[in-house]
Amino acid sequence: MKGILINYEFCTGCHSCEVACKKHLDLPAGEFGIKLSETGPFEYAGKAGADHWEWTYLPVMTKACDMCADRTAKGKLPMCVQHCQAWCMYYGEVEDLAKKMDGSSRCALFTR
Amino acid sequence: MLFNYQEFLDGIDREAYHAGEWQWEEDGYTVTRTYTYSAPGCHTSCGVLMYTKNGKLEKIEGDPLDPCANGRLCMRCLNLEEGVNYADRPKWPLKRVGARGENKWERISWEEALDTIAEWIRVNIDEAGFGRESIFVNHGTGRNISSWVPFLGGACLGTPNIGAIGSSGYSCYLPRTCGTAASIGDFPIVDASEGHADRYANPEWVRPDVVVIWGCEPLKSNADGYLGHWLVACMQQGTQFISIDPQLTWWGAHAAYWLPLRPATDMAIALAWLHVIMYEELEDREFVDLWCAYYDELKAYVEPFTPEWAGKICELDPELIRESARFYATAERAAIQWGLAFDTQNDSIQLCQTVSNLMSITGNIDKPGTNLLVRNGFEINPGYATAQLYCPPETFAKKLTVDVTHPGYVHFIGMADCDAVNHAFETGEPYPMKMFWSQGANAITCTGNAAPRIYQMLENVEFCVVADPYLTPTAVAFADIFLPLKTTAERDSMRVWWTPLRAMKSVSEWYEAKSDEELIVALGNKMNPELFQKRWPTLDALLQDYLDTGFNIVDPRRASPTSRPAAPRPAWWRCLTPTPTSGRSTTTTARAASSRSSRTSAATSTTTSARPIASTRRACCARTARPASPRRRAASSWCPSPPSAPGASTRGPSTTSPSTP
Repeated sequence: MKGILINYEFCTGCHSCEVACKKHLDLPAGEFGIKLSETGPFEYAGKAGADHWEWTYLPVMTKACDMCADRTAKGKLPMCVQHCQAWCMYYGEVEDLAKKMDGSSRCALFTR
Repeated sequence: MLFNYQEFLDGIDREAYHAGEWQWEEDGYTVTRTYTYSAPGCHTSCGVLMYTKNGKLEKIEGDPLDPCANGRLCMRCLNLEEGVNYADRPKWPLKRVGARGENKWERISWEEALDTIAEWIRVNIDEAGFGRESIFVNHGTGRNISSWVPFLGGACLGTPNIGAIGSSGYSCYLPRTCGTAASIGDFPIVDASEGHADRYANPEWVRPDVVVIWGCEPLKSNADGYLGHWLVACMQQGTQFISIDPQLTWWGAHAAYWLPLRPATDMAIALAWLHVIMYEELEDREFVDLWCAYYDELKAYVEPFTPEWAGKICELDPELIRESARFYATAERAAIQWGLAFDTQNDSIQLCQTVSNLMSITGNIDKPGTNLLVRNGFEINPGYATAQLYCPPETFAKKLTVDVTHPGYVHFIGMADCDAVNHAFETGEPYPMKMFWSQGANAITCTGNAAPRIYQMLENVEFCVVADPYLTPTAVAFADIFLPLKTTAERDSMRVWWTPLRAMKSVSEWYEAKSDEELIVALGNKMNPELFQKRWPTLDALLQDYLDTGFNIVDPRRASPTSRPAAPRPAWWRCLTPTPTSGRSTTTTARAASSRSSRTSAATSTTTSARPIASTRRACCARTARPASPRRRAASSWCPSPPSAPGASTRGPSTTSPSTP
C-alpha cells in the first residue's frame, strides 16, 4: 500500500501543498485535496529553548486525495510531495515509510 | 533525521521528468524546462516545467531536477497561469482618452506609441531647452529588471535620473550592500549549499551549526538570501537557530534562543554581542590575526556596551543576550541571515557594519556552513548603475544626487537620490521634472506610505508613460501612454543574481505585449539609433551582449570591456557601482579594490548620529591581499545545464570575447 509520510515537525505552513493539489485536481474554491491545520502558537510553562513553544502545522489529506494516481503511474511524485518547500513530505510504500520514521522528530503517515 | 538529499537524487525518476531535455510533448501539452522570474518582487528564480497548449500557458510545476529549488515551488508560481492569462490584462499599447484617473483608453499601435513618446521628448524637452535629465525613470524592486530598466533609462532615454520616488534615503538593501562592502568587501549570504550543483550531498559542504535569523522571516520573503526554506533543510540536518525579532515567527518558536527585542534596537544587541565575544575572548583568534584590521580599537570601543547596557535599551534579560552571543560565537560554523529590518532603521549602515564585524571576528566568513561572500554567476554584474555607462556624460553630471538636499554629502550609488528626486518633483529645483517613465513599478501603491505625496508629485507631470504587464493604479492615475509588458512565461531572458546563471525561455504569447528587453530594443532603435544599430539592433544581440559583457562599454580595439574616459570619478566610486573596468577580471582584484577603497568612503558617506548607539567608528576590514579560496571558486563557477534556449543560451565562463559594436 502506498502512503504519504509527513515529517510535520518541520512543516512551515507555506500552503504550497494545498495550492499544488488544488491546481492539479482543479478543485473549486473551498474544496481541498490536502488542507493545512495549525496548532498554536502557545507556550509551555517551565520549558526553555525550542521546547518552549508549540507552533505546529500539519497538512491533512482529504477524501478528494487520490495520491496523484495518474502522476505516480508515470513515475512522478504526488504534487504535494514534489512542491513541499519545507522538504517534509515523502511518498512510497507504507512499509518503507514506516521504517524511515526514526523517532528523531514528529511524523504522521497517511494512507487512503 | 529523515532528510536525505542523496536518497532524493537517487530516488527521483529522471526519465519521468525528461532529464536532459529542455522541451518535449506530453499528453497533448508542450512542456518546457525553464526558469521563472515572477513579477512583482520575486528575488529568486526557480526551475519549472511549463505546460502549454496552442501557445497558451495551461499549467506549471516545479522541476525536481533543478538544483536551485529541486521542484519545490511557492504559491506565486504554482498559480502563475492565473496571472499570465488574466482576462483584463492589457493586450496592446493604449493611449489615454479621458482625464487622468478616468481609466478610458484607446488602442494604438506600437509604432504610434513609440512615435508619440519620441515626438513628445523632441518637442517638449530637446527643443524646449530642457535636458534629458528632466525625464525620471521609476523602477521597482525586481532582481530581473534591476539592470534592464536603468539601462533603458540611460541608453534609450538618455537620463541619469533613475530610481525610486517618494522614499527618503535608501531603505531597502543598499544599507546592507554598502555596509558590507565597507567592512567585509562583499555581500554575505548563508551557505545552505547553494554554491554546489549537487547541493547538500556535496562532500565539501558542511551544514551550519547555528544560524541567526535576524530581522528577517525567510519563509515568507528571503529576498537576496535565496530560498528561505533551504534553512529548513539545514534545520533538519541539525542546524540550531537564534531568532532576533520583536515578533514570534516560526523560527522563534523553533529556536534555541528567541530575543524579542524592542523594535529598532538591534544595534544595541549587535554591540553587546561584540562586547561579550571580545571580552570573553570567544573570537576566532587565527582569523582575526590573519584577516581583521582594527581589532583592538574595536574592542576598546565596545567596552561600555555590556549586555546590561543593551538589556535596558532592548527590554531584554541581559543573560539572554550574553548566552545567545556565546551560542553564536562558540559554534564551529555559524551564519547570520538578515533582512530588510536592517535597512529601515536610522542606524542602518552602522548596524550592517557592526553585524559584519560579528561575522569577521568569529571567522564566520567564506567557510562552509557560514556566511558566504557571494558573487554573480560568471561575474555578469550589470546592476542599477548601468544607466551611467550610456547616458551622455554632460547629462550624467546633472544627476539628482544626495547633495541636492543634504549639502556636503557624497553620492556613490547608481540610482538617483530619493530625497533629491522628491525635491525636484516638488519644487522644480534644480530643474523641473517634465516626464515620468514607470516600468515594473507601481509608485502610488507600492511606496504606499508616501502615496498622497507621490500623487501630488505626479499630478502635474506633463507626460507619463507606464510600462507594465497590468494596468496598475499608477497607470490609471497618470499614464498618457501605456505599454503592455510580457510576463515571465512570454519572455526570453536570464537571471544572474548570484549563481547559477539561469535561462528563461518564452513559452507563450500575449497579444502585442513586449518583454522589457524587446521594449529596450524597440525604444533604443527609435531614440538612439546610432548606438543601437551598431550594438543592439536585435533582441538576440542585446541578450548576447548582456551575457558577454554585462553591458559594459566595449573598446573594439582591445576587444575587452573597458571603462569610458568620462568625467573624473572619486577613487572610491568603484566600490559600490558595477565595475566597468573589472568586467570579467579576477574576483581578487575587484574585491581588493573594493576593500581598500571602502575604508575611506565608509567614514564620509554614511549619515552620522550623535547617539552613541549609532556609531562603531571603525569596522573590522578584511585585509586587501586576500587569496581566492577554493571555496570561493566553488561558489561562483558552477552552472547546471539550463535549457538551450534560443537567444538565452549559457556561454562558457569568461573565455568568450565580448561582442564588438
